[in-house]
This record gives sequence, structure tokens and C-alpha cells, in this order.
Amino acid sequence: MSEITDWTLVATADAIAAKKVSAREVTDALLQRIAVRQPLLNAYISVDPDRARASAREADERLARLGPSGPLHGIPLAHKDMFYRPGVPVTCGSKIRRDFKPDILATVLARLDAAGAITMGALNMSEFANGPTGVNVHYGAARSPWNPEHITGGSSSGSGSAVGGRLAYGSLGSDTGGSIRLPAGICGVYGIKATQGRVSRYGSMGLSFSLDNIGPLARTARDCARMLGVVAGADDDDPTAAPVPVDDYEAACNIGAKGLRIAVATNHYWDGMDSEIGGVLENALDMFGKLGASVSRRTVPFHEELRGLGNIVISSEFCTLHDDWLRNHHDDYAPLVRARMKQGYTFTAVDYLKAVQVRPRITNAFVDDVFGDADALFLPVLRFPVPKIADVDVRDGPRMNEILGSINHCTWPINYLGLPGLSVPAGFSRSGLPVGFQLVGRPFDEAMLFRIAAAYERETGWTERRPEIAG
Amino acid sequence: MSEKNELSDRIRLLRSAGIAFDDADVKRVEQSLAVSLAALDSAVKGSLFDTEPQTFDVVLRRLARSKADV
Repeated sequence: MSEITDWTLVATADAIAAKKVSAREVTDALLQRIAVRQPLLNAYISVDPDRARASAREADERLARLGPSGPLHGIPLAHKDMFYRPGVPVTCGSKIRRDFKPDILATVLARLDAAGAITMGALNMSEFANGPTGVNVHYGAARSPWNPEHITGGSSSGSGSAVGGRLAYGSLGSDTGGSIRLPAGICGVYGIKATQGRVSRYGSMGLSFSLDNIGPLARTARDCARMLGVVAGADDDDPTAAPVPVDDYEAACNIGAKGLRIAVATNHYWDGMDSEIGGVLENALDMFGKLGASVSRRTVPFHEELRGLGNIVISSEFCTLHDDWLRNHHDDYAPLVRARMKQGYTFTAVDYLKAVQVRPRITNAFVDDVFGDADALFLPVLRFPVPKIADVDVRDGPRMNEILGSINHCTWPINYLGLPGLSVPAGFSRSGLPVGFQLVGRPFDEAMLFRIAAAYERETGWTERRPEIAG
Repeated sequence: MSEKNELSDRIRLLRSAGIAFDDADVKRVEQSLAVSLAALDSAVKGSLFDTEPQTFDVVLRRLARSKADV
């Protein structure tokens, strides 16, 4: 029998609900694993064993008296260190907020609590969620569970490392330019940036109020679907959370991909594609054919514009949120974060408002063009093998923009469009590192993405592979 | 050259407002500003005078509804 920590989130929740295993046993198994692997992976900023064990004990008592409180009853999770819980320190991966204790509860945490989840601790992240590599000068880089010399991707670096390394059954991250999808793809797990407005951001650290998204990373499509189903939906505390009904994402995982139409973007996203990575992605596309889906290759519009427009919006909003600290705590930021932030100062109000004003028009045209005859758009996550940490630790050097821009080349445009994007484990490179692809869909069509991903997962079984290096 | 002048003007304004910008900062923003403004030029054709108010969330919901009609 496999170790408890190898079970999927859904299998573990089912086992707890059926009283085949207790929440306390699951939590203890995970804490033991964290104690051994954390020094290798640096996935956590802080672990709270006492709180986790107390929550597990409460979960077991409640189960005995009343039954499960929800679909995540007794499941140990850990989240990027940017979600607020009264009195619990939240660093945002920064020096500036090292001792910050919020007095509000993030809506997403409240929903996970109500569903019965247990929190193990706080996960590593890029400073203020800014940076696609996972390098952090204050807390050290989180490391890939598949090879600790390599990056996790960022900014939800600890989320990718912890979920991929079996140090948490699932995790919430945030995505403003790829920060969920990159670490998911690089660490061999699922991660979804849902439609803009699908998930409440109340009580979560902001980077860019127009482009920020909260979403889960988890080991299987069904695990990820369950977590999104719990946290998605309208919220009285967040007027930007959309009043759109939440689909049954788990049910979508059962339908299969037969008859679906998948479009592959051949321009921009495949520029300079590494031959080995391209080969893994082509194999994935072949599999979709075997699953009864049709695959068509086409160019997609606006790729030239989307990076620049997104940059104007993100930089301006990031700069707005940090302006006071940048003046008064200038040296408390990592040089890279400070340098990226300063780009925001160079845009005028008119530049910014133009970029915001044309956004609906561009998204409308993109959806009409791409999804008129396709159910999902297939994109790579990375176009090259996962880099080593030493190769991307560029600080604020002259190659900063080039290196960082190459990493989020395929994920960045989707945030400006506001569309949902699901990162899916596609397979592995010869060196044993994960390769991922993205499925992008129509607004609020996350169920379609889970439907396609789950069908692929059932046929390929990539998520059953265990990262040997993390034991 | 006009782009360089435009950047210089913007940097001068920022420095006068108390924002620290050294030569390395200027070099880094040079390219990103040029790429971003070129993207803006390409995306914004002509006047925005007759455009609708910013209604991105409404557009997303409308596009979702049209999915249900398919």
C-alpha cells in the first residue's frame, strides 16, 4: 500500500469521510514528511504543527459527531504566504511585511475552513508575488521536487514545490502573469488561473487589481477541480467577484474529450521551441486525437500587443500599491523587485488608462476569433527545459527583463485577456523534469478545461509518477 | 531618437518628484517602455473618443452567456 502522503486529495478526503483513516493520521504523516523534505525543498516559510494537529483533532471529533463538514474535511493544505487570517503572521515573501499580522479573514480561507480543510503553514513565494522564477532573497529559493537544483517557477513557488513534493495535498496560489500556471507546469501538478472575477480576492495580498487571480494547485485534475469549486463564486466582501453560477467542475472531469475541438496556437507561443519540449507537447496533442478530440493548428491574434499592454497595467498598478514603501523602505526590497516596480513609474496616466480602456475590445475580438470554432486553446507553459536556479538568479542585472520575459512568455498574455487557463502535466523530459501545457478557454468555462485535462490524465497517468529526489 | 527623448523627459520628471532612478534603472526601463508603448500604439488605433466605458467584467459575462447559447 502506498504512503498516505502519496494519496490524492480526493482519495484522502474519501478515506477520511469513510473513517478508513483519521485526519490526525493524515496530518501526522504529512508533518513527518515535511520535517524530512523541507530542508531540501524550502517550500514552507513557516510550519505550524500545533495548529495543524489541533485542527485535525477537531475534524475527527466533528466527523464522529456530525459527519464531514464539507468536501475537504480533514485535508491538510498549505497556501502561498499572502492570504490573511486574523492574528496569523503573513510575510508576502517580503522583508517589509515580515511581522505583519492581519485582522481580517480572506474569503478563500473562510471557504476552505468551512469545507473542512486544515492549514499546515505558510508557503514560500516570490517577494510580493513579483517574479516568475521562485527565487527569493529574503527566504531563499523554493526548489523543484524533481531536482532541487532547478527552479519551481513563480511566484507561487512554495505551492508548486509543496504540492509536487507531497508536502501538501493542495495549495492556493495567485496568478497575475503566470504565477500559478508556471509553478504548476514546472513542478508537475495542476494549477488554474480561473476567469478574472471567478474567485474572490478579499483578504489576499494584491499585486495588480486588474489582473490578480487566486486559484488552486493540486496533484490531479479532480483535486484541483474540487478546490476551485470550494473557493469560486460571488462574495459580498469583493465587488469584483463575479455573480456567475459555479459549475460542477468535478462532474466535468468524468465526461471525456470525445468530439471536442482543440486549437493549437502556432505563432508566438511556439517561437524558439526546444525540440525535446516540443516533442513532449506533440505527443500530448497526438493523445487528444486518440481521445476523440480534433486538433487544429492556427495563429492567434494580438500576441504582439498583449505583453506590452499587460506590462503597462501590471507595472502601473504594482507601483501604485508600493509607492509609499518604495520611497520609505527602498532598501528593504530585493533589487529585482525594486527594478521591476520602477518600470511602472515611467508610464503616464494616459498610457495606463488606454491599456485598460481597450481591454474589453481586445478580449472580445480574441474570443470571437479563437473560440468561434474551438472549445479550448492549447499553449505551452515553457518553451525550454526547466532552468537551474543558478541560471535565472539574475538579480537586477542587465539580462533581467530578457530572462524573466522568456519564462512567462506563454502565460503572461492570458491575464490581460482575463480568460481561464489551466496548467496540465504533459509528461517529462529526458532529464526527468516535468513538462506542462496550458488549456485556455472562454470566460467562465473552467469546466471545459477540467473535462479535457481529466481525460488526458486518465490516458497518460503522468500524475502517478513520484518525484524520487524528494523521496 | 524621439523615444529616447520621451524617456529622458519622463525620468527627469520622476527624479524631480523624488523617485530614485540611477543609470542602471534607466537602461532597464528603456526597452520595456519602448515595447509597451509600441504595443499601445498598435492596440489603440485612432481615437478612443467614441469607446464605451470600461466594462471588462460585463464583457466577460456576456461572452460566457454566448457560450451557453452555442
